[in-house]
Amino acid sequence: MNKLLLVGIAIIGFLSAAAILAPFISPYEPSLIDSASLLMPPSYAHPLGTDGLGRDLLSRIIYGARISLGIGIIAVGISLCIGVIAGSVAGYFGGLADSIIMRSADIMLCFPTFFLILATVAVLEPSIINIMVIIGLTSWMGIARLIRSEILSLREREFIQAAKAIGASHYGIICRHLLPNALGPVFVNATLGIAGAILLESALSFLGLGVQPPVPSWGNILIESKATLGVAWWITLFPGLAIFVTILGFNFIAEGLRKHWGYNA
Amino acid sequence: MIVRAVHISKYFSIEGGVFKRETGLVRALEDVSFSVEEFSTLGIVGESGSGKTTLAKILVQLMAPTKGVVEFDGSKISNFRKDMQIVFQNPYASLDPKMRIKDTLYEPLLIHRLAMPKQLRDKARELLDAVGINEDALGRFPAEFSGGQRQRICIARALATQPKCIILDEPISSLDLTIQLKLLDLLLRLKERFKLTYLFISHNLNVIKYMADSVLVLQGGRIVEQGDMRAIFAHPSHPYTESLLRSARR
Repeated sequence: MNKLLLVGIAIIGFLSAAAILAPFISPYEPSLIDSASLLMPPSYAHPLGTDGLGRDLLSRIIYGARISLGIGIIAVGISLCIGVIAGSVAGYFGGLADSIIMRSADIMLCFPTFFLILATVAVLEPSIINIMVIIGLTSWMGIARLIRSEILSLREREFIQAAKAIGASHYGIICRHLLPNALGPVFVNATLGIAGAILLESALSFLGLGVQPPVPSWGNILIESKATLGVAWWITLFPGLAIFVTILGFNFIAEGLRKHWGYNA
Repeated sequence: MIVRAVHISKYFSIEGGVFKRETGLVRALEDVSFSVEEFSTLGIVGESGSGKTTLAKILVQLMAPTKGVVEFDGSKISNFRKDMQIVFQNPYASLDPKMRIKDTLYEPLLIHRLAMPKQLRDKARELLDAVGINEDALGRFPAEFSGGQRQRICIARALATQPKCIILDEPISSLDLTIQLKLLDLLLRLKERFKLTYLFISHNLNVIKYMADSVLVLQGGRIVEQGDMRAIFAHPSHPYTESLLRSARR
C-alpha cells in the first residue's frame, strides 16, 4: 500500500461515511427553510453558512454527497457491467461479434457524449435514476476497449490453452481465467470514471438538467449560488471544494492502485 | 493404436494490406501421418520452426488442421478433453498467475466431476504427491514456485483428469540441466504408474532417446523419417536425422 492509495481511500472513506450517516451527522434538515437566517456567513451555528433560503449549507453538502457519490458509483457500475461483458465477448470470440461490438463502441464514441446526455435528459425527465442510467449507458466504451485489449493479449497465453485442454467452457475460461487477470487496469479506469461521472452530474445540474431541487446535489447547490455569488462566497466555495476533494480522492485511489499493481497504463 | 494422425496439413495465411488479402502461405505442417500405440512413447523431434508445437496443438484440438483428421480409438479415448492432456513448454506461462494451486487442480476435477466437493482437497494432495510437490503448495500462488516445481504442478493438473494419453511439448527445455533429468525420471515413473501413452516433443535427440520407443523426425513441417527408436539411432536414413544425431552427440 502506498501513501497515495491510503490518502485516496481515507478521503473517499470519509466522504462515503458522511454520505451514509447523513441523517445522523447533519446538523439541520437539508431543506429546512429558515427565513431568520438568510445568507449567513460561516458561524458556530452554521459551520459552512446558509444559502438564500436560510438552509444550512453543511447539511445540504452532506446530503448532496449521497446523490453525487451515488450517481458516480452506480453510473460507473452500469458502465462496468456493459463494458466488461461487451469487451470480453469481443476479445474472446473475435470475428463478427468483435466487429459488431467494437464498431458500436466507435459509433458511441463519435457522439459528443455530453450533448447526447443533455438531449436525452431533456426528452426524458431529469430524475436521479435516469441520470445514472444515461451516464452509465454512454460511458462503457473505454472499459470495453480496455478489457478487449487485455483479453486479446491473454487469450494466446499458455494457461488459457491449458484451461481449454482440460475442458473448461467458454464461460469458465472468461470468468475464472481471463477476467481475474484483466480486471486490474479496468478498476483503475473505473475509479477515474466515478470522478468523471460526478463531474458530469455537476455539470448537468449546473445547466438545470441534473438533479432537481429541492433535492441537493453538489452541482445544483453550485447553480443556486450563482445569483448570490457577489455577497455569499461560501455557497460557491464549499460545494466546489467538495467536488474537488472527491475527484482528487478518486484520482489518488486510481493512481495508487496503478502503482500498487504495477501497471504502466 | 490409440491416436492416429491421418494426412494432417496446417497452413497459415499471411494477410497484408488494407483489405486483408492473402499475400502468402506458411506451410507449418504438410501431410503428416502417424499412429501411436497404447502405453508407448512416440518421440517427435525437429528444430524450432519444424511444426512440432503446431502438431501438438492440433492433436489436442486447440487448433484445427487445414486438411486431414486426428483419429482416436473410441474404446480407449471416449471423452477427448478428459482422456487427452497436454503439458506446455513454458511453465511460467502455463499456470494462471491469479489462481492458487489448489484451484488450478480443482478445476479439472470439478469440470469432469471426478471428485465430490469434500474429496477435492485429498485428490489435489494425491496429485501433488504423485509429482513430488509438498502439499503446503495448495494455498500458494504460481509465482512462489521455481520453473521445475511449476512444471510438476502442470503435470499434476494434466494428471487430474485421469488421462490415457499426454502430449508433452518440450516439457523440460526451459528448465535447468540438473532439473531436466529428474523431471524425465518422474515422467517415466508416472507413465508406469498411471498406464499412460506419451507423445514427447523435443528438439533434443538425447532426450528422445531416453524417453521414446519410436520416433518421428520433422523438418519444415514434413516427416522426413519415422520408425523404431533404436533402428533410427543406429542407421539414420535421412541427412537431416544424421545432422540432428551429430549435434546430439556433441
